[in-house]
Amino acid sequence: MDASTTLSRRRFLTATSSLSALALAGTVLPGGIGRALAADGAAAAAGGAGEILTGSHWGAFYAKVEGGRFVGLRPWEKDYHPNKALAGVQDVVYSSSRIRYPMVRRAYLEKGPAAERDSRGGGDFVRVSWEKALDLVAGELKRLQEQDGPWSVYAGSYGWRSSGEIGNPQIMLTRLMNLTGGAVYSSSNYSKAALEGIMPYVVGSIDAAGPQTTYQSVVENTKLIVFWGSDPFKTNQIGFALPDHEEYKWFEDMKKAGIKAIFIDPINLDACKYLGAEWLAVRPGTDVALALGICHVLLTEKLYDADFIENCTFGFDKFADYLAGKGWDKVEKTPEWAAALTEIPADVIRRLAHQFVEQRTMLVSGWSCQRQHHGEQWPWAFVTLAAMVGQVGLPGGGFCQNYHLYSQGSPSSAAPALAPSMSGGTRKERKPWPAEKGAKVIPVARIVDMLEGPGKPYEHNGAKHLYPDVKLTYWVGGNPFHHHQDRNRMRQAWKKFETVIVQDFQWTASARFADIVLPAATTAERDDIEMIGTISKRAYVAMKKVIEPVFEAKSDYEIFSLLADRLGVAREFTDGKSEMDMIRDVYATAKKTADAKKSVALPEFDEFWQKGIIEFEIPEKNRRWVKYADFREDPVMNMLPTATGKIEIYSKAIEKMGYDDCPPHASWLEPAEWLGQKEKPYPLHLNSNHPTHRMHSQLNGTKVREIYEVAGREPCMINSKDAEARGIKSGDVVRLFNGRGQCLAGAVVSDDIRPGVVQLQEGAWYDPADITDAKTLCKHGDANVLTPDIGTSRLAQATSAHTCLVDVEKFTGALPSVTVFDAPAEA
Amino acid sequence: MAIVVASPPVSQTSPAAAGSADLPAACAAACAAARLADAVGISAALFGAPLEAGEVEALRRPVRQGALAAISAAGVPEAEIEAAIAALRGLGEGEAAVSALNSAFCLLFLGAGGPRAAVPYESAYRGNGRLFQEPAAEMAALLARWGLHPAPDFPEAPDHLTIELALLEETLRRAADGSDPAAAEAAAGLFARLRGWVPTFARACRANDPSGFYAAAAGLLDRLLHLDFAVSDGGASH
Repeated sequence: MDASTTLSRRRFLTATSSLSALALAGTVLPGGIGRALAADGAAAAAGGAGEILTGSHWGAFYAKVEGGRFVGLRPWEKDYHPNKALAGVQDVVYSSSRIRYPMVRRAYLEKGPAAERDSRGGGDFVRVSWEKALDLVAGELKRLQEQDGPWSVYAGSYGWRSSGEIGNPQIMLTRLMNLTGGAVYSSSNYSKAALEGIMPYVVGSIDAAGPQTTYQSVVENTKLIVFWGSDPFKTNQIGFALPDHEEYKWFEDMKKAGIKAIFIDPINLDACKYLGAEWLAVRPGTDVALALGICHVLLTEKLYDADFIENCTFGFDKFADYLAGKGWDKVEKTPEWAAALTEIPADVIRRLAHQFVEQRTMLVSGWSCQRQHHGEQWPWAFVTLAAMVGQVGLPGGGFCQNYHLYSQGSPSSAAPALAPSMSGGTRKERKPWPAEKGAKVIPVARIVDMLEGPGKPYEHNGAKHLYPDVKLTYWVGGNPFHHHQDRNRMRQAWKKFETVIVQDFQWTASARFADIVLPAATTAERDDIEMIGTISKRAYVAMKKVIEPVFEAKSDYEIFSLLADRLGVAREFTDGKSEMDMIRDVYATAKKTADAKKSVALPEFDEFWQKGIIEFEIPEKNRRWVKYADFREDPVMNMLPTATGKIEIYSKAIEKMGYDDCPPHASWLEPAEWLGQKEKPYPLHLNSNHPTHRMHSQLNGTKVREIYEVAGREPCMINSKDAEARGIKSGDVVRLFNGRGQCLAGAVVSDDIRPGVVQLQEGAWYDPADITDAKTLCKHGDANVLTPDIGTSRLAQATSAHTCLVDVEKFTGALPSVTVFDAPAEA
Repeated sequence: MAIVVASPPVSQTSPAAAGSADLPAACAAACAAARLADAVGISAALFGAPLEAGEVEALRRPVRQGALAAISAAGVPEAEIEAAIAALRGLGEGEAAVSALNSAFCLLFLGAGGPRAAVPYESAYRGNGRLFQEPAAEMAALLARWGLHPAPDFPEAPDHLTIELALLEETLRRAADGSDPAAAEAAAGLFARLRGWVPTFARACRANDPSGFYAAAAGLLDRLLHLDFAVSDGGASH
């Protein structure tokens, strides 16, 4: 046949057989949207006319559905402070960046894992059928398991997957891999891995997870609250469970109560302004030094709580020696010493010490100070300081390392916490895993070290391991081309993978740099169940499907079930359960617990599902819960799960590790890059904190961008003095650069940021100008092209993203004609 | 809606159009509608799926022998079509051209370029920019009216460019053969609909197309949609 005839014979429409008007409308809509028309009636019963109550990482909401289309939303009426970004949930479903079909990179389709890898990211994908795509994935997994072994598959997939208890694709991936012989996994996270590494030695738990001293306890008792590297107005907007944003009410209450507040932060936060608080613009990277300086005052002026130190802590003497200049570095940690490092005046440091002990004080830390080189030192120094202040376990006093996420000061209802019904399980051994094949689990942020050094030794938390020789990765529910540091180094290292599979609902940079791309459904396109309030457990929500999956998207569960079938483990993977069966299981487990404890009355599942939501009362006794109160009251009977049962100011276990990058008590260690170093390579500190209006990179592809972007790019906040010195005005396009990379951004000149510091929030979608250039310009503003990829220390091997120096200049070159996210209408 | 019966523009370089000059007006209009349907069908195909090797080869030929001949026959000047062919030839031969065109297609139309796209849905250009908005509902209703739906291997939104063009092609053919009195009116409505957003779509192609071919093809489509013609209800004339 003549090829031109072939072109003219392509057919995109076909005749409809049914004459029913409803069926007609249904069949013409793709991806089964028409089938959702039937749901319109159910929607009307659940919310208002045509509304379905459901939820997201940004909150619970009613989705308005018309003709099988998701046409609008409104927040749940009992949300304390609905998130402005909520509208982005609708954008995500209908984003032009949706992955529509299974796609395979052309070179990979032709040559498989032997294909060249330089063209990854170039966009040369070929649409394939689901059958073909799944055969390719299953075939490669089988081949590697048989020819190599489980150490060749990296399934340490990480990220903020979609919402709900049953839809966690990372659990599904782990389960499938374990059933088929295993894989290399990852531990901890990019948020607080240094804290998670050190806190078990110090207080016997992660501490930053779970309920914290309640908001009410603070409102009624606290006289001074100190937010140290913590922004409660920002990350509290999001949650794995459905957030209800109770922290905003807390702030209103604190303001009414007249609680004095101090914010120690390089940025003058909105929360600081709201409370009319004092802003101490500490030099980034020196928070440990500031804490040590305050500790020195408490020690030398005998202000510290000697009874608490005696009864509830271990190892204070060695720490006191260190403060006094008799420790390992022989440097006395005087306020003047701390002032030189932190640029907080010595008299202010003295004043802080007095303020902390003279009234009921709650010390609050975020996680930014531990996302730095030697980040383990910050949480340790912070808890040590709180122990010396001595108010740990008192109402409204002590310390908290998580008032910024999940509203963890909310009081809890008596309802059981919902939990996934599926587990990842344990590895089904199909072949032995010899030690020389490397670690089964790596610290999540060390992925590039692993790719660059297969077989190389590394240390982690007191043990020695080898990096495995991985050849394939399967990524679900995450975007490593956003969250990992030093993008250019990562891009090169990624070529180690022979096969990269990405399962997502949108074309993230990670999907663009993959070989096989599988289109997943969004949360709105499947049923699930979730709580409102991670801690409060204020309600259970039947997260009903809003619309059918668009294009050829399938739910993660369906995709993994189809793969399990190809890999011969379908029965073991699904246990014969549908997604609705799993939702029923989640509810049944909670109901069984509630019935046994007689804690709350739960109706039968069908009644719950029909109703859509069950709300729970908060018992009065839970409103004033105080963390560590039991321990303080009786540290012997209620000992902490540490080696000594006490707060460990000094750790013998860490001493045994002999790490010079993580000494056995909280210590000041100079970071690899910081503003105070003698010959700093670049003059400005980069603060790549969590974005104000997104959840990491999620929603960056949506209309929410209009709230904040500058010159079509990620905003970069710069102090007026630094801007003036560079001829930069608000609205200018600027270039940020260092030896690792470069990116463009839109300038916001402000005195709400400390001189010498620029803010470029993480999560802007990576947009390389030229994938063949090793140091190519990111045209949009991905902060992680600039950040270093080094472990915090051998203890936690966490990310050090906040240890980063850069320079900024006004961009005077020809602006790239292609700008990310330009709406087509404006192109 | 009044249907205006008129001949298509007679292009200096369009032999097919020139050949219709002596036919009765209604027949000429019907023939024009058929020619237009051919041209629209080719455009629908260009934006519906990436091009395969044989199709690229056919597109590289001189205008009158090539795959774009129908567009010329409908009245788009040959010089403009030559420019599109030149862009295609500039991509090299064989697999290199196929690969470059495929990359461009994925980046522009399938979302792989992130927002560096020329989003091929009417909803992206009307209202809030989200897909599956009111235009999708309107097109769903139109398709239902004509007893059609997207082919099983083309599970696209009803307001996808190719679906709109495919329906336009179908209504033009029915107008040409007189099988449905409402076809011409429907075709006129689809022309108006497409004229409302294709110019912006074509600008996005020009801004973002790394191959140059799709920018040119979108330009040809824009040109085609804006030719000075009207469509006859062919059946009513007989």
